[in-house]
Amino acid sequence: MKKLLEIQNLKTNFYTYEGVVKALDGINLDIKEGETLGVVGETGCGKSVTALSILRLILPPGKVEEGKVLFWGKRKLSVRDTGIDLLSKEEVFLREVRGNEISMIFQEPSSSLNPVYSIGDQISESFLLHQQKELCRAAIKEIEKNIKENSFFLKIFIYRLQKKIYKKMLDNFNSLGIRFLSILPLVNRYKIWLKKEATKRVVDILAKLGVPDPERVVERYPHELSGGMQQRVVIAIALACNPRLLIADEPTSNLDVTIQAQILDIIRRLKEKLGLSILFITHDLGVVTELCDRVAIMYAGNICEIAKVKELFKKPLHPYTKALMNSVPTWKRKDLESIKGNVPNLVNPPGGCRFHPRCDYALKICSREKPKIQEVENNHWVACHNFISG
Amino acid sequence: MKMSVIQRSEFKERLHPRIKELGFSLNRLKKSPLSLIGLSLILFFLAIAIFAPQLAPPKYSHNPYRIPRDGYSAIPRPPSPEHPFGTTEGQYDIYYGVIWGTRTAFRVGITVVGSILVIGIILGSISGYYGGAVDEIIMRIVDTFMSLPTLVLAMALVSALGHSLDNVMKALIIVGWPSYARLIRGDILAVREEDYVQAARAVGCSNLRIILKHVLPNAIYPLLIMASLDVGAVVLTAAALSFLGLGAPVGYADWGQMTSFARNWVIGPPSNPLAYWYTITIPGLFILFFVLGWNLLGDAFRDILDPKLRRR
Amino acid sequence: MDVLLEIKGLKKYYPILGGVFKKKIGEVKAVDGVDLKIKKNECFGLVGESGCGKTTLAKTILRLLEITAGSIYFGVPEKIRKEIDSRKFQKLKKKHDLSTFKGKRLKNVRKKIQIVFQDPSSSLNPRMLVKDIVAEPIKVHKLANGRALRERVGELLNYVGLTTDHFFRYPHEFSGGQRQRIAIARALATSPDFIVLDEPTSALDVSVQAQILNLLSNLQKNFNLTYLFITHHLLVVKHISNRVGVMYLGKLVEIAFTEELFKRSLHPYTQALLSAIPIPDPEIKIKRMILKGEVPSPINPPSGCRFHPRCPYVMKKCREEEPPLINVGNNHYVACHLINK
Repeated sequence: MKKLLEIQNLKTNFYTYEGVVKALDGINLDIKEGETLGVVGETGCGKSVTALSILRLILPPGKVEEGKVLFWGKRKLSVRDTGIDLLSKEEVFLREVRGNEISMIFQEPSSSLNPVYSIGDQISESFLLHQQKELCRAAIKEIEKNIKENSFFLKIFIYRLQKKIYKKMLDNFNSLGIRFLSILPLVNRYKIWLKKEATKRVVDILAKLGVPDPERVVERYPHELSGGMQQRVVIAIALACNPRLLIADEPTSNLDVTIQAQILDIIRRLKEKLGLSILFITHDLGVVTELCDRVAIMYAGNICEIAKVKELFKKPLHPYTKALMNSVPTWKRKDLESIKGNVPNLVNPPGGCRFHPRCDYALKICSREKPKIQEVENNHWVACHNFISG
Repeated sequence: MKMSVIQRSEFKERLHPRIKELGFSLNRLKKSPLSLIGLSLILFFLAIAIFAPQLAPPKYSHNPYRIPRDGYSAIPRPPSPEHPFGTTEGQYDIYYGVIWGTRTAFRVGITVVGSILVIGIILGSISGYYGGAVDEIIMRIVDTFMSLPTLVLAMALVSALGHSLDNVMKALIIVGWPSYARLIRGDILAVREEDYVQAARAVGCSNLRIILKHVLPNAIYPLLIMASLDVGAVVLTAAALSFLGLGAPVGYADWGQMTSFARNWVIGPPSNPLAYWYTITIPGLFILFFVLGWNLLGDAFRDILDPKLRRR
Repeated sequence: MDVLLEIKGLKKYYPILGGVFKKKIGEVKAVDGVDLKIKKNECFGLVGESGCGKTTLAKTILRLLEITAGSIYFGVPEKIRKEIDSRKFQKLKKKHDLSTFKGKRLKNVRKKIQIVFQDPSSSLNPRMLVKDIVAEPIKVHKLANGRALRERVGELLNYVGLTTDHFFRYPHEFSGGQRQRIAIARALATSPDFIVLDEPTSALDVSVQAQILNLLSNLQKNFNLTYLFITHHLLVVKHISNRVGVMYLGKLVEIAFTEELFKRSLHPYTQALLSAIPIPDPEIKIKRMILKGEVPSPINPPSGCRFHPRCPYVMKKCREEEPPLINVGNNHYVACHLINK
């Protein structure tokens, strides 16, 4: 399988009053086309920061210090061998990538949606930003169809004018002339065609997501929908432009169990139909089992273990992974084992391996040297001195 | 000493978390230049007020607020070595007036704002916490007061009660408490539903205890911000009333009083219209910088208190 | 075993006011007739999704909310409850019904029933030191003073795994798990008999959740406590409770012993709920029952059985008649026409 995204040695810091929080300490991850990678970790381990760093959405006082995020996009921009380093590109380039090639959905659907815009407006915003040429062409086709069907000469005249405007928009969507025209009160009715096209596509995508009665939902506002419905709208916005990669930051953590089942089902179907790659961030090992092909376990800004799902559950190697699995209540488990100690303060993290103060298998070297992640078995990577050879 | 060793170390340790918080706040204060300007202005005026007897030795020792007169001529005289800021109509010394006026300004500002804080908090807390009929009644009274323009109402009250600085203060208190009551009621409505208030009720705390120990300490910050901004506004309004002749008696050391003297002398003779600039400008500048200082300080409070809440 | 808490016919309706004169135009039926008996020393788990009324139920037991109808009997011996049942002695009812207590009586009862909230960051006053937070219940009920008070607070913090070093700190200096421990210490301050735990681990990390659940089990054994454990996480409830009750839209639809419920759940909603849990074990493949539709609004609950619009086994009777909660053997109660044919 071809690689889609590769993160090399990503380091992110937050400069706060209490000190420098070393949130990410050299992350190495890769996602292949069509695969779902789960990132599991507890609060403060840096999974959300990783996702935001990929899309360069980290705001001050945070700063991405080092590292590369190589992306093989869908357009013919990339040099096929090495991919484009998203962290070194200009902001203008990143804006083309966000929403269009890499999309992100967040945990709280109610705060991901703008309460004063209708659902239709919010989903079509994605189309209007990234698929302008297609929308214009489709609008022109609509106008031509209407010209043929209509006989009233005034209407035909108006349609011809509007068609001219759209042809101009094909060249430059946001030229000064077009922007001026869009302000004039009667003239800017030309936008109706654009809106109709966008709405058609919005209804289409809502129907694909199993939203009942999409034509009416398009006019509703976010507060009128339930949590599950809102999350579907958020997914619709994310998938509107057919991105290659979807980053999902705990999208179902706030939902009821039955609604979560529905959403996971939708994501699974979309994965199969669209060949979507997903970076799925969660703290729930059960969700990971259902949805993901491979899993990465994170702790305090480091990746501890990466493996295929079945392999990880059959043979967890890293002590943190083992401890995590033993503390999750399951159908069969009688006793829950807790991990001694607390999550470290990332301003002053423990030296060497960040897990060593809480580890039952800590060796002397663990407090001095940070273990590098290595492939210990077939496609099973661990960062632990107990398994590193040499 | 009766305090045992444990209690003393308790005291020291108890200080530490609060001192840490204070350190954090002061650090934020340092970063904002406007706040530092505001703070320095207030400290400057405070120094003047404290050292007024030294800076302008009173002529009438039993009533230092009576401005000394150097003659009875109506025409103001420009600044000179004996009268550093000149004299105003009736030969009252401007320098003396503005120095002792600082004390008056602090007195008026802090008394009025302190009183409306207390009244507003009591009535607003009762209204917000208990709700129901009590809330309705108090809020209707607040509405009534707020529907009348403050300056006009204050003027009417002072005219009815008689012209004096104390009556000006009483009028401003009566006119000022409604907005505080409303503000704290809003904050209490928000805090009332927080989990820790519910937990306090579940423990069995009395309503009074909940209001004093749980609700107020968390709801009071917006009020403190408004209060510091209001000190400036109150002094300005009191000055306006005095300017109109409704406030302090003639010859009292009060900035508004001094501007009242300058009423006829703002524009001088046609040949030299700015001849008597010092009569209006100097008291005016004192008022300006005093109000500015409190405004900047209020903004500073908002900056340091909000991130604190955000950090929590 | 003795019944410690009995709830009969509890209803909590919120009025919806509308129009110019704020007339009552409708009601949110948050809790719509719940009967429940919790035995001493047991841990009763109450599960349900958001909007089912479990938190409202918890708050009415604590008298943080006033009930619309029904009664709550706490620590009332069976003989007296039987007499009240027979409706002969209304005065007797008033004497024992917790929902009517006021003033000093209410305050006294508050010593025996305590609550731990879901979000530890908002259930502790951010402006109070830890030692004051834990000492407050003791001060309010005047149980100890001065040195004795300080020692008791230290003792309580030790029970939950914290030390006296933590006396002089603010809640925001602690992690989520530690804050929840402080909340538990506060709940234990007056040596209560009954603690309501409203989703105590939902806001915590998985490994911290394990610590807290183990702590709660130990405390229950050591201090002879009775728990009402409310959660939406079924696997957690399986781990810690003896009996489980499932709520849907303000009513209890199934009650059973934990093992029984998970092995042989009878109500379709329970089955859907259980099948929806993601299992952290790739070997197990469950046949998932996906419910159609959303949870209806409690303002206008569906007629008859409230679950019928989403039930895959709906019959004609379900739309017309509400099924009663019936004991089908081994103290397993179900409210479903299909089962109770």
